[in-house]
Amino acid sequence: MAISEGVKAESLASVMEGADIYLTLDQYGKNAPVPLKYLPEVKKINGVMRVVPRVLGRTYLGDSLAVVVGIPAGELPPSVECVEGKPFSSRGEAVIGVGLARHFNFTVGHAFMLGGVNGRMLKITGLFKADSSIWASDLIFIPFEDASAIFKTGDLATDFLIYVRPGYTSAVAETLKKIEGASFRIQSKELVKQYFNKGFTLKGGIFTALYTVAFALAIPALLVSSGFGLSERKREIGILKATGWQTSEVLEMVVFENLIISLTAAPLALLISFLWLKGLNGLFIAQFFIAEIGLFPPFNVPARFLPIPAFLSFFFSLILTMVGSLYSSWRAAVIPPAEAMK
Amino acid sequence: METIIRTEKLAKIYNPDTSYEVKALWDVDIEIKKGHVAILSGPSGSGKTTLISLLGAIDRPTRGKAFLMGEELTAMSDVALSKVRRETIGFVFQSFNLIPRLSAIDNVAFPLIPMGVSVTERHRRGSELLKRFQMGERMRHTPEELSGGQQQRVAIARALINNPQIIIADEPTSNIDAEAVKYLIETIYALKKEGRTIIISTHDQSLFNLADVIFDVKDGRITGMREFKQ
Ligand SMILES: Nc1ncnc2c1ncn2[C@@H]1O[C@H](COP(=O)(O)OP(=O)(O)O)[C@@H](O)[C@H]1O
Ligand SMILES: [Mg+2]
Repeated sequence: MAISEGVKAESLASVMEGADIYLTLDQYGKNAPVPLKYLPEVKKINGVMRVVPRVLGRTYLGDSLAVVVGIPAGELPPSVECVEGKPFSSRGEAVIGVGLARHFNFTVGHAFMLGGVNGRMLKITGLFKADSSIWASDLIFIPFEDASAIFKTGDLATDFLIYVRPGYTSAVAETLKKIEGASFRIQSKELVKQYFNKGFTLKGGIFTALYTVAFALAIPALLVSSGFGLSERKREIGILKATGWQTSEVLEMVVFENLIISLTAAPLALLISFLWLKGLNGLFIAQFFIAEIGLFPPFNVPARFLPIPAFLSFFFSLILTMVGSLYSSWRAAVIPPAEAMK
Repeated sequence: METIIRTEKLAKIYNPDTSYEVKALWDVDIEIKKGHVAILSGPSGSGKTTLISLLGAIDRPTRGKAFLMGEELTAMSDVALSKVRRETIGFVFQSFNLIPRLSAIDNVAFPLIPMGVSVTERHRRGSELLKRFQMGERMRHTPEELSGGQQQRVAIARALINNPQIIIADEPTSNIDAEAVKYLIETIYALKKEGRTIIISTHDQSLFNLADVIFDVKDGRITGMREFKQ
């Protein structure tokens, strides 16, 4: 529970800390805590300089909800700069933000109780000032083991911060993917940048819409290529008219036929596009929708199949096919049958 | 005897006022009596198909008039012409014009679709006609699985599905073998016995014995008419 609470704060904490890779477990597409047993294996990966397991959680300090970051001694992120005192070096110590300190009138040397009944007594060794946000100054950094005990996380960490040698990020990510028995969520600084700075999420939405439309447009193409050639069609309409069909009856049939074909073709088109995206990860196609990615997208293309765009594209293609075939059918139906049958 | 079809200075010009304009038919005046077998005879390119298409209401002339049972075809709307084709005329095309993706029985029965006839009734009437022409074993076959003679029988069955007074056949012996020609002649006799008017275009003399009247067509004009007492 505590961990999942903490996870909410994670993205903010992450941005502040600037590690190269944030590693969590993947649980139905959401972040889940990572067992500590992976720590040695991750450390061994070529290019990895430092791996910092963290426990993140929120708990009450007096009347305020504070975000607690449990981190091994000596691993305080560089952005956390003590303006007073020094970083903690052993269990039972803490470094707190100046905001919190001011609120509670704490100074270096003060001890406080964190985590209620099962809590810990912690002695403040330092106050830090975070440059980035007001929020950050409400953080409490404590030793990893103390946080584990307070939040009862056992042998789990909320995440691993991985610092790698320059240029190794993708190689390390690749190796992480291959680790047996675990399904990791790997977020790298670069990817996070790509996602946010380049409006990736927005493009993802557009991508979905365009993609479905593109495939729905395949329906008319399917129609034409599946033997409903225009001259063949014209001949058939000539035959129908020659045997007594009215123009209106021909058009009625065309509408009906189009409905049937579109209804059968639409699920097919959706299935194809789904398989293409999920199976082939948008091979070849993704580059048309997302700039700066090549033929083979290096990450999972965030395509979502939403009912609304799917329905819209079906509707759009139906109208398009309908108007197109009604017009050409009408043209064939109003000329004398002898001419249409030629 | 009652006149069923009559034309007045009927003319058809393809691509008028262009350098490749063709006067396919010029000043054609003919009269066909009800219950007769009329043959349009002439060499290839003489205008037989053009004329028979105008008589069958599947094409419109450039000039002149055509009357069917006293009604002026050439003045009719598209809707009225479709009605004439549905109720009065059965057309057997030279190349049969069956729909390739439909089975024999569906090819025979599809003219009934817009009339709201149920599937079961359509199939009943279709199979009845196909059986009449010894095609009972071939009802589920598509046109490409049938011989020329068999396709023609399907085409004749289709022409008869609405029980029309007039049967029109364009060059009916051109795409079938000798055996099928014999069968065709029997069929035409039978249809004539039923009181239908039959108009055939052909350059094949083997059908001439059937005729009550033969019109000679040459270069788009009627150059002669021979009547026979049957
Ligand atoms: N759609 C058309 N466009 C131009 N010329 C045509 C067309 N149909 C027929 N013709 C020409 O009209 C003339 C009469 O053709 P047709 O009626 O088919 O003759 P037949 O059936 O006696 O062989 C021919 O010279 C033919 O080339
Ligand atoms: Mg001809």
